[in-house]
Amino acid sequence: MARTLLIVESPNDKAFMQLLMSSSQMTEISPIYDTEIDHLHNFTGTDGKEKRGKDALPQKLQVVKAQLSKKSPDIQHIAVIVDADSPPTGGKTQSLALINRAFEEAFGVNPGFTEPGQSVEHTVNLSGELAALKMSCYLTQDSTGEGNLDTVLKAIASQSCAESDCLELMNACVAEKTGAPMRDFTKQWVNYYVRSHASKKQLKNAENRLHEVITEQGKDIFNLNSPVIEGLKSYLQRISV
Amino acid sequence: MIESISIENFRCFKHTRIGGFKRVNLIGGQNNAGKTSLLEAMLLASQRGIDSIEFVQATLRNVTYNQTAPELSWNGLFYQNRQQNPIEISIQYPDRTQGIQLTYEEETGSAYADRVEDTGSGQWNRIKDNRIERKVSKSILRGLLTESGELSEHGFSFKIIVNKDADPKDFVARKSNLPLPVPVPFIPAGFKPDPRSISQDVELLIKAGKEDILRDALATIDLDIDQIRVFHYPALEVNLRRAAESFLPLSLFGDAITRVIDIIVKILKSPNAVLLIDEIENGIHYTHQQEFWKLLFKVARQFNVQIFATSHSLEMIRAFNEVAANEEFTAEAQYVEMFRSVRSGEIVGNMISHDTLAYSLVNNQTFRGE
Repeated sequence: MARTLLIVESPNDKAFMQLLMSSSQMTEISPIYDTEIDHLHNFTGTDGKEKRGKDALPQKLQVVKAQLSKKSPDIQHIAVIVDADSPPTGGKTQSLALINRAFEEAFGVNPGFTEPGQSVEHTVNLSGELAALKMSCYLTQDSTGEGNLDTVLKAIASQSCAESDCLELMNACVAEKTGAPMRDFTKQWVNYYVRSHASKKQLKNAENRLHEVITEQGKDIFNLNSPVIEGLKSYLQRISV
Repeated sequence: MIESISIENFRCFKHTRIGGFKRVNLIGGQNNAGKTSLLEAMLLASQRGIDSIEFVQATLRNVTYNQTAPELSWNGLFYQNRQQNPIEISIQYPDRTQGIQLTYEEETGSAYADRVEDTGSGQWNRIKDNRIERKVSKSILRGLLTESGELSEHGFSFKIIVNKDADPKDFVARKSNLPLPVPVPFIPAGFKPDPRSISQDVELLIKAGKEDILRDALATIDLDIDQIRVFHYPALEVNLRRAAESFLPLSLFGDAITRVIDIIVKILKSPNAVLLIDEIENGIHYTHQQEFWKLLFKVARQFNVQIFATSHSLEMIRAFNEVAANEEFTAEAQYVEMFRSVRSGEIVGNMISHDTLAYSLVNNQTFRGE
């Protein structure tokens, strides 16, 4: 049976996509089956710079291409979800250009994505054999059309959290004193929010297990009916059927 | 430099083309993925001599001659023993293509036994009808005839003819218009060079003023070795001296020292050529592997040698990629992952870029055919 490989940026992204794909809101609309989710890793490139998150997408797609011939011929659709981020280094145009380039470098075909949610199908050469491959992408974005998973999670957080509320106050204080908000404020806000709902065991090994909170308790701590994630849910439905 | 290779009906290759080679190529993959066979194909297509055909069967694969079923001596060369189909191997350079075609035939009678002149004892016979008198190996395999000269597409064509009726002497060259083969050094896995032969080579290199290169090479393994000499008594042997110590014969040093000397000797003896090394990690401790690769990159460039090496070793591959990260070497390094495609059933050579290999190495991604 044909399968879809969904590539996301981080273990937290993976956990959130798993949450959305398994949530009742999704399955009421359509059955979800056979979508494997993998995430990107950081590494140091030839230029000596550390490549983080979606900057590793070109390398990941090269690895995936070989996997299609080595052990996963049933994967016929590669879907990519990365953060939209913000200009000048991010934003819709930059992020889609990165995705187009990564597909082109790996498969010799530029999908020409101009909008998130698009999909194309091309015949590609996999180890000497021509095969039909579907490619699609989506950008994790908040209501502004920019942002990342953290801005989305903050926007759909549905529970009160003293730690996060206090961090808001601290951020306002820092902004007042320095003229600029805290560095990585949203990331930290989400981190406190998730941690506040983690079990003792999960907190003990937070680096490896905190993302479990998103999958296991996501339905209770996030509003999965929020319009902020309607586009993302719709995309996940399309790649899963 | 060789940019690509096309292989048909040879060993595990039914039909394979691998392109994108650079000066120093490291080939990884699981067992039976075709790594050694790729080196053999490189040898056959670049050397284009009957000796190399014997070498890949008798020396590398330890095949012996079977008088009652002589076809068994040769069928392993052909993909799934399909001797009815020709082997065709070609290598592509930027400006030309060269290669060989190898076919198989069985005949009866003593049709070709009289084409070789038996020189009696020793390793070699002479071909009677060769324009250029050439010695041919008294192979344990026997029954190999070179059939014709230049072909338009595949370069040279050879035919293996086995004869159950006669006792074919050895290798016989039927046509005389084949040029002498170009030496292509091949270092098999676990190979230990003959001490006498390596001593003669080292002596020649020292006389040619290349001792410094040898000493620099040895420094990648042992910084304290400061002198290299060849002694003729009590036996012809390379001797090395570590700082403030006495000369000691090469045989008392570890395998890595002998391997480094052997590789450097082969590069210096055959500049502007190809060097093939199977299981390059043999004997090289992981703490020396980066320096070893740096040496190979430098010497290969200096003497215009293209290297194809195989390895199972994660440490050796990591060391290769770390050296390749050096701006000086990046453009000259290529890692090749070999595996059998579950889609096509063919052996595949997947060219992995430095960045993708770096990504895979640090993140436990697959890159050795798994």
